[in-house]
Amino acid sequence: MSNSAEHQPPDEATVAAYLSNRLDPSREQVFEAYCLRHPDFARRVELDLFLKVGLRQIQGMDGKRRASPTRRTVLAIAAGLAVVVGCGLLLRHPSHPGALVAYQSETELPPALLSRPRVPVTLIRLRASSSIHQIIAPRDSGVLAVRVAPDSPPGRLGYTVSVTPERAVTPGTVTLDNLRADADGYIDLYLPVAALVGQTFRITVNPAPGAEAESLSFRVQVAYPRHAPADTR
Amino acid sequence: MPDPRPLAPEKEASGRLGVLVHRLLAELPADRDRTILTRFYLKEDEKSEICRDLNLTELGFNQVIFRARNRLRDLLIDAGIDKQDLMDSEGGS
Repeated sequence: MSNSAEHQPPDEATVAAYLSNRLDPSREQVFEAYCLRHPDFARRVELDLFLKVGLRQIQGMDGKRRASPTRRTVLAIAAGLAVVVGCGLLLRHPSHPGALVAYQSETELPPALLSRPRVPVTLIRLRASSSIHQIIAPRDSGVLAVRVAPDSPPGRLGYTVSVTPERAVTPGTVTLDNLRADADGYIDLYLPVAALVGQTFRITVNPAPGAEAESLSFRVQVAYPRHAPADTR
Repeated sequence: MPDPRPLAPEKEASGRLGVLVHRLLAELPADRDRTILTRFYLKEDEKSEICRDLNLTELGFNQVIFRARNRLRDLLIDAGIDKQDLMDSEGGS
């Protein structure tokens, strides 16, 4: 796909091909990049997915009952486009390098992080993919405000979310337990940008220990803008 | 070849999403529109092929898809169904 294609909404055929896993990796990447930049379009893709699944459910009851569509059906169709919606852009001076910490709510944030601009990120899985989602964080940003749409029901104790660096620049894995989805169905967590920048992390959502559902995983890479303004004043 | 797949009674459609999509299909004004949706989303036929078979312009095709998508969105909102419900119903529980 050309550069111009990256700026035009994919057509119906491309959406259909994407949802059926018929796009080649490069076109898939362009498609997903477009979704990242256009949450409304991503929502539209989701509606198409719902139409597909709804029709399959109807067909499943129509005459020959195929091996009843299981959760795996959806996970196969639905399988993993991680839509990263809305990375904010602001700026000021660089922040301190920090340890990897995860906060469950805004109220837990230390004042130093709370007072800085935050970078909102929404992660939704539509189709399976291991592509890395690049997030450009302003140099003065405090936290990555991550919203994850879980694609399985919570366990009795809610969800467990872990954040793991792929390389051990920042040691260890941070895990938050007993998380609940908000009224919109999203799990919220806050991660200090300074501890993430320059690295690739895996954010994994598990319904609960022992639950049968598969875990949901996103790869996220955080970087500062490459060509930051030398001085904004 | 307008051959819309016969629909199971609404109450038998498995899953809440199936019920909503069944309702959506029932509301469509023409069999041709149902054919478009089932061929495009279920059978995954090419848009050009569907247009050719049904003697349909691209604009006409897009309108059907556009309206269906918007109507489904409204039905989902009215029913309070979100992605989580979709996964639940697919779980066959």
